[in-house]
Amino acid sequence: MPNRTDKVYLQAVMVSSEPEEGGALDSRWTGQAYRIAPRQSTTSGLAATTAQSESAIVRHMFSNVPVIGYRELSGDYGELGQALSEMTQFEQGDEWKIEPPVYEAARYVAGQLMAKDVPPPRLFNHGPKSVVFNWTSSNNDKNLYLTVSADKISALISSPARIERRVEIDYSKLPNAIYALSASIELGADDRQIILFVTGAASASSRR
Amino acid sequence: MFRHAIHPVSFQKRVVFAVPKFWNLTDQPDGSVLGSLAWERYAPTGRYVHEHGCRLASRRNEAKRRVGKYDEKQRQVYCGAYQLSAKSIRSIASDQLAGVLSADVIHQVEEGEIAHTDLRFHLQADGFDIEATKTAIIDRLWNASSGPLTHVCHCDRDITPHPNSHLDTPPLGAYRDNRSMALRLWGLIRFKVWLWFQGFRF
Repeated sequence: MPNRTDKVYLQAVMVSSEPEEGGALDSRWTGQAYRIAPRQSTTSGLAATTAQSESAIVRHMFSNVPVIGYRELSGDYGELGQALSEMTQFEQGDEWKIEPPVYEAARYVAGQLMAKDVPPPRLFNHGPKSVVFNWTSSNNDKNLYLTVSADKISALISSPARIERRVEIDYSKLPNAIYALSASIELGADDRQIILFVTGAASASSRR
Repeated sequence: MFRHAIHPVSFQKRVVFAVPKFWNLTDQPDGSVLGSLAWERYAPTGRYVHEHGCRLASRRNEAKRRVGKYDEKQRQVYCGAYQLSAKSIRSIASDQLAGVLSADVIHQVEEGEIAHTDLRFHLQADGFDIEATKTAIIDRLWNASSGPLTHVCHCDRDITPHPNSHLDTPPLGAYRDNRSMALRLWGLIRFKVWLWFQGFRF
């Protein structure tokens, strides 16, 4: 039992079955710390009060992935959702197994992609800690990958000769990046869109 | 070098899976990343390559049966192999954005498989996310591959359609054995002599 001077922080978690406007970017849910303070009476028991904290403890259910709003994966994304679910059902140690937080993160990203009418990707993994969404250009000369981990996303564009771009994307900025990503799916177009979301959304390593 | 494509039979129902790009890269205590290949020197013809792949899949299924966790839907099926050269693997380190310091192929007999070879990547310590680096590695390996050499193991002849139809052709195109007849013959003779010295029976 915590004593009166202990600070206990609760995770801010909200999960709903309906997609919500603002959703992951709703500022009410970031940077919040909930402090449990003892009641004024001498009896035991705690009352929860909310307080904003300067040093934001950004807590979400799975590291910094805001699990707010499950979008039903339907249509072309329905199979992707089923494939992701199937990957959670393998035994521990199987090479196609993904961890539950990775599954949740992947569903979130898939939902965002679906909402922005991005063509559904293909899917693979290289261990339990991430899944990879992959698009290939129609002439098979470029690939775009999104490596989705429980707490981060990385984007990578490659040609047969070399890796062209590599960036990390913050989950909170993913919706803004989706527009640029959807333009890049063609991968034959001018890749200035990639530069836009690189400079706007994440630190980047790139090469021209 | 040959990389075997083995996956659960259930994957054949899902075109969404990029089947040839599944590759188990395991994290090692020293921070490196480890994968597996088969060395042509000890699998000198397609027959030996495929026999190796069939044994791998069979061993995994058998291990599941022994612990009572075998599921027919997740039965592992060997579909075929892709070829890539040791030189192209080692050159991955020269791509700055790959995040790889060095890439090595090291012959390592494992579970009685004489052709088994470790594929080990030492990663750059400059802040690249390790999961994204694994993706970069797989991308480079894919772009260095040719194939697939498809195959149906004897024990999988009941599966129709066979999931090897889902194996994509990589950017380098179909596999071609560019060795001269003399080199192929030499490779086979060398392998047979080595087996004889080792006391193996194949």
